[in-house]
Amino acid sequence: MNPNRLFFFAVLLAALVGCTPASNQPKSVFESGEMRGAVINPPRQLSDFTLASTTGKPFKLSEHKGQTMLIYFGYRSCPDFCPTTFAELKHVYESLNQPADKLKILFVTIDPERDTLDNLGLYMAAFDDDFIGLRDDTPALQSLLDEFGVVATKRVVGESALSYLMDHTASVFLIDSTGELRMQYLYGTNYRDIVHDLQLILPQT
Amino acid sequence: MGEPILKKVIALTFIAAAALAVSFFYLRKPTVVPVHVALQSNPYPLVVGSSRLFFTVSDANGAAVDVQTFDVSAEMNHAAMLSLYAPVTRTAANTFTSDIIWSMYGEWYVKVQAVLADGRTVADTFAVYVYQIAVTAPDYENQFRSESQNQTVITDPEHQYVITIPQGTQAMQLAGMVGEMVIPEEIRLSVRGKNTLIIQNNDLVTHTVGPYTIAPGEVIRQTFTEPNTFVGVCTIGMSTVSIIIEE
Repeated sequence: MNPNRLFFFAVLLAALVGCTPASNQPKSVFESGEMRGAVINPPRQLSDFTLASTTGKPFKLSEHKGQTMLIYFGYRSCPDFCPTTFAELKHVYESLNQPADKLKILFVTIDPERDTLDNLGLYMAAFDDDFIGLRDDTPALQSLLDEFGVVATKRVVGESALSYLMDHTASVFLIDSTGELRMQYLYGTNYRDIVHDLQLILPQT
Repeated sequence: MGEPILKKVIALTFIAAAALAVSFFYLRKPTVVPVHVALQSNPYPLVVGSSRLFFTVSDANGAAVDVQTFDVSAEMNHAAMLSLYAPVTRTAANTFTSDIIWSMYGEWYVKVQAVLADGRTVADTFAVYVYQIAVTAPDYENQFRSESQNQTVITDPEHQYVITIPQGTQAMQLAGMVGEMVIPEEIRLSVRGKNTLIIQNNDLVTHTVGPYTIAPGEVIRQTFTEPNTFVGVCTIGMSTVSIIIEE
């Protein structure tokens, strides 16, 4: 057989195969149905917030693209939800053993009146030196809470050294490497579920 | 002797493969692409009084689909209300407008039926809310979601518990009207049965349902793999909502 004809048929076959409909694009890990946290779809766009940080350098969201972040809104004097959640996040962080520049664990105080950067830094260090405390004592804090759908209200408690508590949303939120809000983990979620999800997410970042 | 035969075998193999590919590609049964109707309005959201509705008929790939006839009707969600007259004007092969004067605020159903050029009929219903006074919608909005589009969030009815918050929910609350949809105080799921909770917010404002806060246009989806209980307030029923996951 003439080699040119052979070549012609090969090209024809390749062209025909190429004409067949392409398979569907693979779904992102967030749409895979394998996540154990609550997936937010479409991902929520966040404003490019900047907060004072226990690292000594202001934390600006847009400067952390490429990193996955777990962010929590609480206060240092919290007697229950906050320390429990951060004990769980410590387990998450240790289980994943990721470099600090790939996964950030953030604590935004909802009680800037009492939580200074200094004592926030000590609070974070009690859990892990890589955890970062964030603070803002301007009205911009409320805008940030609204973006995440976080409720935080002061409740005066008489006859208490604390004088007031903060009632607040106790979810952990996941910001993906593009800076969008993608996941919510309810208070009481087993830390292994968060680890499970991050093991799927982090290799993609 | 062996080489020419080998060449013939190779050539015949290629021809057979090519013929197979051609027959697969050209002679296969034509794929029927789903067709849907999109609805936009001016003003958006709808307000009592005059409005213009804009309809676009397209396939799932966004391509225009030729339409023979297109009919629109609008009726309230409760009995004893007459349907509104909804004259239709064709603006292109697949686009139509309809001017409607809304007589009352509340939940309405806009029903559409299109007979396509290929003979197929597409029917859908849009549950729209007509506001008493003009309200501002999020910037990205001006698109109603039809019943069939709302159904797209359900991919596995056997395992999914779906809550849809319709547009106008907050307005109905403020007006003291009880909406059709009531969020149960207990949402019971089970790891081995309905284990996935989906909440879709079609309203114009953020709603909190139990521990979830859902912005306008968002869908929250969570699959539970072990028993647990989560509790939170609900901005719709103004009560608490418990999500109880059983074995």
